[in-house]
Amino acid sequence: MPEPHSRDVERECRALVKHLVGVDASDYVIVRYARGLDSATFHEGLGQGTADRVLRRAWRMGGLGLSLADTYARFFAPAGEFRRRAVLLGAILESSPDTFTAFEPPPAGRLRAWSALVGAGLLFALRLGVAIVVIGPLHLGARLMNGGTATAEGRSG
Amino acid sequence: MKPVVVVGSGPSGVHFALTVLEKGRRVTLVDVGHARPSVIRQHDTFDGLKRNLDDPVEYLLGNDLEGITYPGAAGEYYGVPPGKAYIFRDPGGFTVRSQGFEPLFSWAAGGLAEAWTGGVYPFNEAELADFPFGWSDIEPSYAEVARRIGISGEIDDLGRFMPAHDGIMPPLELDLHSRKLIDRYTAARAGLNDAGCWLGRSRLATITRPHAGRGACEYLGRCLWGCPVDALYTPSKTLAECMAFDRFEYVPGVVVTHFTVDSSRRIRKLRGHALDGSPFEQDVDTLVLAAGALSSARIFLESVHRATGEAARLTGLMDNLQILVPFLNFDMIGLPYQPSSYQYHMLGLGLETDRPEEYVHGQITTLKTTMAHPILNNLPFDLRTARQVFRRIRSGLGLVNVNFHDRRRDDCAVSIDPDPAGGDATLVIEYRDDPGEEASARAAVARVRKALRSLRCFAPSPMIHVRPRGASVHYAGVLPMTDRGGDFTTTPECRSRDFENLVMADGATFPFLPAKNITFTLMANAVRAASAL
Repeated sequence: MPEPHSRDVERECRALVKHLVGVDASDYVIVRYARGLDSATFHEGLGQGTADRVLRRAWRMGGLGLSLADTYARFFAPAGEFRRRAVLLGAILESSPDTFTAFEPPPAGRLRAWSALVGAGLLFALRLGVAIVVIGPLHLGARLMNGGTATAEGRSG
Repeated sequence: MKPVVVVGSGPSGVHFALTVLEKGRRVTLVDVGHARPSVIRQHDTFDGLKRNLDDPVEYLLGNDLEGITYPGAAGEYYGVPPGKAYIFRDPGGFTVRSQGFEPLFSWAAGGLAEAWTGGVYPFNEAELADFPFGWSDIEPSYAEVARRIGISGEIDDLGRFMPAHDGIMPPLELDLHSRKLIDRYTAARAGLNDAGCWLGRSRLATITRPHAGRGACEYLGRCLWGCPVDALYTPSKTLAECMAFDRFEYVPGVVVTHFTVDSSRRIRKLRGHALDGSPFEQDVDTLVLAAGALSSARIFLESVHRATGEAARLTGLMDNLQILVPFLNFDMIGLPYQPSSYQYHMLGLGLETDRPEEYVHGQITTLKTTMAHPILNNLPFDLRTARQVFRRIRSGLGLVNVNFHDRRRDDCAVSIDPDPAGGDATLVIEYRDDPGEEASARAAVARVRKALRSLRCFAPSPMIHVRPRGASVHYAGVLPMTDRGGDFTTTPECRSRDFENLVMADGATFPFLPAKNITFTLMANAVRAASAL
């Protein structure tokens, strides 16, 4: 019997699983993710920065919004709430029966492996450019509205 | 004859105890002794566990997901696997204050070596130069320990730094990545050797054929979570061997705080408290402190304070500096990944230096079943791209753990802050880095990176991690053995010069700390000291 969790958490988990590994989330992963969000270790040192407030709107859109939030967060809120949630889910996915192989090398020759690496790098660069153009001004605006206070973006996002 | 009382069941304590038992004496071993949780699904592979366990996340990451390394977390790259958390569980009442040092303590049956990675490297003549004995004096004890624990390895290019001793069984099967590294080394050997760099097989306390009731390595890939088939030796195996003697008494669940002495400074009683707080007392004829250099020092210091009122300071604390150098082997891109293989280091890298005792030792681990999420979090991509990149490079990831020697210095010390109310004292640790060490460590890491380039591996400098001092857990040097005499020293047989019936059997007595893992020498020295009892 799965444990109760909110619809929001389930929706968020499903979208993140799809984004990270491209499959549907199992009930086991959703329950584990919900429990992880409630765990003491998740909340240790977790703060709230302006970037996270902006990113939350983007990642809850799912799809492209989520993808851009992930890319933007890597450099502008690397230890923020979004990254923590995604790392939590990544750790669960690499340990779970249905998804751990998504972290293992697929059978491929050298050429395919190198091509995949180059392709992933190029797409990332493209996404990073779009994320900076789309989310950057929103982030900057939010910071200015906050009086430009120097929130610890690096640590808490 | 009264029993010899040993404190601590780590590598020194159990090998001291077993040697004394084999001589026909009685032994009482007092210990906190947290026990290892029972092994689950003993013969499942690492991937098999993920498929077959009802809750693999709990096993791999812990019930409260304490095995996750979150972004921005201070400290080490990896935490302690949940299955090994029992090793560090605090029994309560043990307080420490430290400066420049992040100590780790164990309260497990078997001690800190229950979490070791199995490297067994005898000290050579140059590394023993400050010890009051030479290679020929300790070689029989190394051979005895090798016979007891089982050691696999090979006498190869690293043999120039590691003396040979009896009892080495054939080495483990190399995984594909380690084989590629050895092949590249063979091709580039001449140039690397000219640069003073040598590569070879690790000598490991992991057995490749059944030995002393333990099974050979089954290559299940579960090493990081604790070997399920006991192929990797840990001191709790020798503790179990001791228990087969009817002259052996094991007293777990006790935190020893101090001993009391009579007017001639002869130890009469050992004191402490049980885990429920009730007082503990044990009569003593001969006392052996083997609780690890820091814990033994604390017992010693508190005893001195209670006996004399003196708040002594023991200088000369040593610990190996460790620098982690992650690398990517381009030869492995697109090649298969082998989770069902041995997971700790199978190769070693040795760097010659101007002074032979300052040899630099690297342990090369090819990363396979290591948790992915800390690596994903550190790659310079969003997490989705990081996963895509990670799975393509996973089979080529590796790590060199570079170890450096340490020397006794007056500004590295342990002392106690006594409790005025008469309770347990606080252990105070001070450590200051050797001012010359940073430059020599930087130069050594540059040599390691150059050697890796010769093996077609790339070691990105932003990923290099200097571990906090204390992380190596190779603590030593605060009550050194010497034949020159002096307070707070021991004889060459590890007998205290301050208390006539006290033997210090652990790393506290080491007068020098080479770059090698000291556990093998801890065990051999305990055998040597016990033989002289």
